[in-house]
Amino acid sequence: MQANNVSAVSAVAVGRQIASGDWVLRECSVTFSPGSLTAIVGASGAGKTSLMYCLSGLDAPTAGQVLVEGHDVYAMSRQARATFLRSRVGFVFQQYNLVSYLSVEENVALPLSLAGRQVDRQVLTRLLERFGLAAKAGTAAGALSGGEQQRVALCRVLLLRPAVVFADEPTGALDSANSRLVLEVLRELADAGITVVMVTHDVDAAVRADRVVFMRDGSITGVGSGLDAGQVLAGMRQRVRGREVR
Amino acid sequence: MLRHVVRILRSDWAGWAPSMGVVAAVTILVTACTNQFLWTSSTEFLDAARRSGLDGGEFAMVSMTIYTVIALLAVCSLTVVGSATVERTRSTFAQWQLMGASPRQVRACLWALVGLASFVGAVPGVVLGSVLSSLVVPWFNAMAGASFPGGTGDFAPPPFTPSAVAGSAALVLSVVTCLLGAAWPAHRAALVEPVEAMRGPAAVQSRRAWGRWLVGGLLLACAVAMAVATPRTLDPAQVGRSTTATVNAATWVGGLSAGAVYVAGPALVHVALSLAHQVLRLLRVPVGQVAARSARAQAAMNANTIAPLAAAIGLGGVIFTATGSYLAVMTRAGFPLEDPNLTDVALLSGLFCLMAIATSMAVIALSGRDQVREHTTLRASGMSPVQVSRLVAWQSFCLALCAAGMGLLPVALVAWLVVSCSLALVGSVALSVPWLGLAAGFLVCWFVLWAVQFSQAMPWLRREAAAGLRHA
Repeated sequence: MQANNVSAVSAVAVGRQIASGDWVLRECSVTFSPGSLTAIVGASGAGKTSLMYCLSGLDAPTAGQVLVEGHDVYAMSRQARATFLRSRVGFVFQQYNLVSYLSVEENVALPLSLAGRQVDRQVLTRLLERFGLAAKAGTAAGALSGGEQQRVALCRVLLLRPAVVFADEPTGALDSANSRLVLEVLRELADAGITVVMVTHDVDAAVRADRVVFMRDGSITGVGSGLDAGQVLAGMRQRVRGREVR
Repeated sequence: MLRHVVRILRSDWAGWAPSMGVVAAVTILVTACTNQFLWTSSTEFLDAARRSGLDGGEFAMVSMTIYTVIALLAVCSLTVVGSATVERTRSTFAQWQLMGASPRQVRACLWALVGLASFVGAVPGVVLGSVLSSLVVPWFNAMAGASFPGGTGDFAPPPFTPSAVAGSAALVLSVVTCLLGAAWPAHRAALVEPVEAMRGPAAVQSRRAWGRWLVGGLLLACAVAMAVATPRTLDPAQVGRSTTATVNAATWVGGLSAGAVYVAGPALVHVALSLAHQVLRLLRVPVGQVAARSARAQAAMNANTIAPLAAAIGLGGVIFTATGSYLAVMTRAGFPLEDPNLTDVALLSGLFCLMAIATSMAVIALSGRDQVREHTTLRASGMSPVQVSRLVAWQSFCLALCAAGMGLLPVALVAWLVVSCSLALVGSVALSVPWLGLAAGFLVCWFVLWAVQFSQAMPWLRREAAAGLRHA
């Protein structure tokens, strides 16, 4: 199925029911236009990651549709979906999710290799140099620090140049210098026309977004600007601190 | 803390079942042997033998070979399973250490876990072993009697009844052997810094690679020296005696080189899989490349994954090469053996191979815990479920190839020895290598490795990748 007005990603009344019978997502409808940087924010258990998994083709929704570049990804077979998404979607996870026994270079080139595409060695080398990983190109990913692993994940996305990048708490386990680097790269990707969808609790990350989607109890409660998100998240933090003091 | 040990077992029965199955299988064999030993050593049995003019002690003597093979099998299988049990729970106990458990508490819990798992496996083994003994022991005794030079005449043994003492002894032997196998890994696991244990055992193991090369090299040097020296000691005038000496030397050369392969195995596998990765890279097989790397990581985590399979292929190949070549040399020398009975050789080799396969399956099942994380990560990187299935097939192919390659080394050395000896004795090459059997061994290894890994991966491949991400 192909839509006429092609947005990068859109969710149409997406719902997700888990094994216990509870709905973790309810009637979520949202559109992400090409070249935008969107942050999804909300408290723990709001359904942010569940929505991101559904949007990115990792988890089939129980109800509704997910369109990536106008294609209904869950109408495809699993094989077709994997083939379709692997060159269009890139991921940056909080826990990095690199293949620990593959080298830095192999991890970066993996999605392209799997798609049978030729890896441009020069581009790969330049990327590794840019992120200070050239000396560790042959090192197993499992032997790197957290910051280094996240930089590898960024290199992978930059080499792949997908249409959409999904980032799940990309700065959640990083120091401030590495966090800044990650956010700069995500911004750079959006400016280059790639759609970036980021789940975050980080105020600094949310305020850099063009647009913010607010979630609560599995539903989208509103859409605002990065500034709105900053205020909301700061308020949430204060409430949490207040509870800790009491 | 014992409560937690029980919960660890209860939380993942499916993962523990194969190792308990191995303990049960070994216990069945041990129960049968102890029953046979006690029966043939009983006063009633010895009196009955004496009345028929036989020496009752000879029945136990004839059974000694099978006792020795089963004891070896029990020690190898149970120590491997005990050690794999510890490796599986390393990270769990590392977390305990992070929460304040002392090394002594960790060691005690690991022992309790191994003891409990082996006990749970051994109890049904004793029950089944006692039932099966009623059928197997009298039959085996009759087979042993058939090898007596003058037969057994009118000997009628007393009726056999399974002994409670034999069952208890088998139970204790199985559990204690498992505990012994777990002793050193448990000690090491308790002493490792919690953070290092959380990172995984690969870093700890890599430091010991030089030791493996050294000991493996020494054993191999001994085997080669024996293979070189033996032909010079043979007397062509005494073909029968010299051929027997060749078979004995072949057994030693095979045993020593199999030991070398077992000790240096992890280091050899590392090299072989790196080579496989390069080949697959040249052939542009991306899934195969990842599989070779994955297989290397798996072999580094637990060397015992393929060592039993390599030992089975190697020793099976050595036994059949030695016996087949013995018959060929005797025929070439003009003394063909009429209707040679190789049933016992086939039985022992078959038993050994079956136990090696079961042990390998148990180790793979125990060490396959990180597979979900690995496959999910690969799926998030763009691998489709079909490609993950192919990855499992490639991975098991690489590991089976390594097992077969390692197993071929003792066979090659024995073949070299037999060729040199046959040239010295009959002036021509008389060699019989069971190529079909070796090829079948490779295929069985591949199937076993694939079946266990795929059965673990399949439920997650049917689900969405997100389920794996949440689980990992």
